[in-house]
Parts: sequence; C-alpha cells; structure tokens
Amino acid sequence: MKLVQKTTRYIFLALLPIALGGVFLLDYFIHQTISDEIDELLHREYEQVKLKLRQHPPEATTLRNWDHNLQITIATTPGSLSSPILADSTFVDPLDNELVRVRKLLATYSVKQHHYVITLHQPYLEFDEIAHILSMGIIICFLALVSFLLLFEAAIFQRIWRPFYAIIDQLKMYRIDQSESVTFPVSDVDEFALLSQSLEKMIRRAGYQYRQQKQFADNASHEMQTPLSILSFELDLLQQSSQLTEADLHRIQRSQHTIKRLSSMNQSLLLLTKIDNQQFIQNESINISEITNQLIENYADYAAHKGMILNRIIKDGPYRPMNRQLAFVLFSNLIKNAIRHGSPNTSILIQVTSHSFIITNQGDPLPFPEEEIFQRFVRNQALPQSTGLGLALVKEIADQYGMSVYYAYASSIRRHIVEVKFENESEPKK
Amino acid sequence: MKILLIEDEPDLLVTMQQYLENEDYLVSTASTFHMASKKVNDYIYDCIVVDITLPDGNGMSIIEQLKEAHSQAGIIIISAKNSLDDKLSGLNLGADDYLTKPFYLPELNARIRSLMRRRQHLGESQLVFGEITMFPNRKEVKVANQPVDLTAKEYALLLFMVTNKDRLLSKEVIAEHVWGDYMDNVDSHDFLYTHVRNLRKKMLACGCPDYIKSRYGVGYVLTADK
Repeated sequence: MKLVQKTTRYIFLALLPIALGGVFLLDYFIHQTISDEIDELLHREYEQVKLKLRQHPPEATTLRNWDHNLQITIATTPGSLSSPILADSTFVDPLDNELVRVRKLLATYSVKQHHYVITLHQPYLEFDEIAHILSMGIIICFLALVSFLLLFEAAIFQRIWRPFYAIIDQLKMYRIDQSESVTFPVSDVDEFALLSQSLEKMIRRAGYQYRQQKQFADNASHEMQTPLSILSFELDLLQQSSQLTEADLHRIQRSQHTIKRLSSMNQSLLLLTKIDNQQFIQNESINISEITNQLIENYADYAAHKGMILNRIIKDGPYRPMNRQLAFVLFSNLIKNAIRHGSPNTSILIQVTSHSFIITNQGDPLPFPEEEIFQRFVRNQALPQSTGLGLALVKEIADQYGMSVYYAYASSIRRHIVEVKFENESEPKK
Repeated sequence: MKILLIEDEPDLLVTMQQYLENEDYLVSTASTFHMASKKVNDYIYDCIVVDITLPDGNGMSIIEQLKEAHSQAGIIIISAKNSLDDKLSGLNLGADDYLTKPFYLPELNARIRSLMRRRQHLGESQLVFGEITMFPNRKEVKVANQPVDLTAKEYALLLFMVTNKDRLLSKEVIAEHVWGDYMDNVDSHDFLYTHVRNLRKKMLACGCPDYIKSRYGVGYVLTADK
C-alpha cells in the first residue's frame, strides 16, 4: 500500500467517529435550542393572555375562541396547577386536516372569582424544517470539507514525495561498476536532502571500495602470473638441455607441477575474490543443458581413461541468467570433481531437470566431515594436485545466483550426490 | 617471419625472444606502450604478440591502432587476466588469439604457427617432417603418400609435435594443448600415454619410422635422430 493511501486511510478513520458524533450532537443541540425557543414563545403568549384576562375578564359567554392555538375555558373551581405545564402533544391541523406535532402549555388562572383553564399550542412544523435544513447544510459542508482535504492531501503528497521517487529511480538504475557518479535530485525538504546526501556518500564509498578491490584482483593476478610464467619458461628451456639426467628431468617436472598448482590456486582465489566483490555483472541467459553437454564432451577422454561411463539424463533447457564464465566454472568443477574423486571403472550420472542439476559418482566416503565439503582449502590430502577450492567456488557461484547446493553420501551404494537447485526456496531472488 | 613481442617484464621478454628466435622467427621487442606504438607504426610484422597490461598504456589500444591502419598482421594477446570479458573484447577488437599467463612456450609457438597457416590463404600449405606430410587445411596426414586415418585428438597431438619438433614436450604441455584447460589440475596425465601409443601404432603400421621418443616418462620428443 502506498504511503499516501495509508495516511488517507488513517485520516479517514479518525474523521469518521468525529463526523458521526458531530451529527448526533448537532441534532441534539438544534432540537434542544428549538424546544427552548418554543417554550419561551408559549410562556410569552401565556403572559399576554394573562394580561388580557386581567384587563378584560370575559364572561363565559363572551369567551372568544377564534385562535385555534389558544383555548380558554372557564372552570368552576380555582385551578390546582401552581405553574404552567409544558408537554409534547399532537393536534389536528384544521387547514390540511393532518396530525402535527405540537408543544402544549396548560395552565390555570384566576382573575377576581373567575377561573380559567388556558391551553396554548405551538406546532413544531417550521422548526422541524429549519432543523432539517440546518442539519443537511452542515453535513454537506462537512463532506465537502473532508473530500477537499483528501484531494488536497493527495496532491500535496505527489508534490512532496516527487524527489523521493526520483531518488528511488536513480537507485534502480545504479550499477556498482558504472564509471560516472550518481547525482540525486536536490530537494528543499530537509529529510530528502539528507537522504540524497547520505546515499551519494554511501555510493561514492562503495564505488571506491569496489574499484580498489577490482584493481587489487587485477594487480594480484598480473603480479603473480608473470613471475610464474618466467619460472615456467626458464624450466622449459632448461628441460631442453641434453646433459640432464632422469632425476633432473623429474625435478623439473615436479617444479612445473608446483608452478601450475600455484597458478591455478591463485586464479581460483582471485575468482573467489571477484565473485565476493560482485565483479561478474554481465549476465546472459545460459542454457544449462547445453553447457552440461558441452562439458561432458570435453571430459569424455578423461573419464574414458579412468574407465568411467558418463551417463546423462538431460532435459532441454533450463535457462538461467548467469555470467557465462561462472556458469562454466560451476558445472565443470562439479564434473571434474566427480571424475577425479570417482573410483575407476564405475559410472557417473549427470541429471539436468528444469529445477536442478544432480551429479552422482561412486567412491570412498569423504576423509573429512561432510559439512566442511564446501569450505575453502578442505581437500583430500591423498590428492596432491587438489587445491581444495573447486567446491568452494561452486558454492560461492551458486550463492551468487540464488541457487543452493546440497551434498549427500549414500553409504549403501557408496555414491556421492551433489545437487544444485536453481531456485533457492527459502529466499527466491529476482 | 617477422614477429613483434610487446611485453613489459624484461625476463619474460628475453626468454620468449630467445625461444622464438630458436624457432627461426625474426623477433623484435618492445617493452613499453610508447615503443610498441612506434614500432607498429614504422614497420610491418607478420605477427604481433602483445601483453595487454603495459605500464604506460593498454595493449588493446595497440590492436585498435593496427586495425585502423588495416594491418594484415596476426595478433595474439597474452594476459595475466583469465577473464572471459577481456578475452571477448580483445577478440572483438580483431585479435586472433588469447593466451592466459602462465602458458607454455611450445603452446605459444603452436598458436603462432597455426595463426600463420590460417593467414596464408594461398593454395595448399603443408608441413613435412621426415616421412610425414601434414595438410592442416584438410586435417589430413600422409606417410609416404599413403593417407593415415587419425582421430581428431591424435591429429592434434601429431600436429603439435611436428610444430615443436626436436623439443622435449612434457606431458602437461601436450595434454593442455590437446585437451585444453579442462585438464588443468588433473592428477594423472597417464592417459596421454594411451593416445600416444595409439598414434605411434597407426604411424608404424603405415611404415613410418618411430619418430616419437619417450623421455624418462617426463614427456615426448618428435625427432628423426636415432
């Protein structure tokens, strides 16, 4: 729900009881006032009647009765009422022959041995109408005020929050690897100006760190690989000498092995750093079954050499947005791993379904605790060429793309199972 | 064949130069962007091997400069960065090949030879070693004018050895060339033995002398010497 809708809703909810209460209160006050007015009117008329009776005490025969709102009758005994009684009553309007609500004043009065009973009527008719019109007018005014307030609020909101949405748009467009700096819209609202400033600062800092890290990775790569190249070249030239004994040649070969291992470890560590630093931003739609098939072809000779059969159950697709290089590292590490650690003359099964990649190979149980399998530098000490980084890279890449990696060992059939689930169920990413 | 080597690391430059001169190339060198840019402008080379990380500039700019001048030279990038993006942008600029450091010298030689062969569009180019004649355009091999039926891997193996004849090639170098990066870290290169044995068998069956010599289990040499 948008902020503007939320505040409008709260304002509306707050206004509703006030409006309802107001209607009843208003109604009560109007009626109260009108009743008071009518009563006052009746009292005044009663005073006038009394005055007239005092001045000209009429005889019973001359009691004029032309005002239907006033009735005077002669009583034989003095009235028992000390003060006039006011009451609501009904009365038939002689004009339109309708029953109307009236206020009635009943009093007794004595002038010199003459006793009178005075009844005064005052219809509510006009007063009700006035109350009705007043109420309607006020309700209309109130509704108009509320709707105007809501409209005004919406308009103000749009205006005030405009810089906020502009900032959000800028943030959506922002990529950490872009070279140009981001400028956020200027706002005269202090809060937004503060937000813009803080974001600009934060982005500058993040960008700086990103560039530093990237440069470090590049430099480390260059500074390490170049001396390794020199070593390797020198050894290669040395190897060509005809005066070397068998032992010398083997020494050279071992050195070359170590150089190769150092180099690949360096590259793997740099790759991990780059993934951590999110330097692989260029994504494309990767066909996982295509990559898997290609890798299986590439490793066919190696597997055949170990007498292994690569079985595959591969469904077409699925497509995932990934960096091509990382996709290759992810799946080739898994396949290479299965071949390297698998027992000779067994089979490897590679399955690609629409939601996962599963590879299983037969082999001895892990020489280290199962939960450490994806940690860096955890490796089988019996294989000197292993860097212990292959599966760490797999995990890192999978994490990068919201995939999850599971490992299990089925001891009854002595098979290692590694599964890459493409969608991370707990927190689906875009 | 004239080659320009552009590399800022002096040790690396000297070693590569010596090695390539032994392979009968005419080698010029440049150790800075400035020098390289000048040489590329003033002379014509058949092949340029360029390190893209130079102290005073980016090797990619040299490639741009060459392409602007419509140079026919083959271009091989050598880089310490094993990055697909760099590789793609280099190849997009018009480079012909991309080698990641550290690489092996015989591999560099093979890449240069292969590039030069692709550049020579004129007619049938062929490689001869003793009784063996190879036709890289058609991926064919003849021994004493008799065609030999080789698998793709055996052919690649033989071509690599003929290109780097009379040199001890360690098993790692050969394996990486024929099977590519997929074989890195592989604990055992013994499987190369099977392929070499099959190749030898096929060649011998065609009456070819046994040129492939094993050297103490370290590697192989293709040589006509006894």
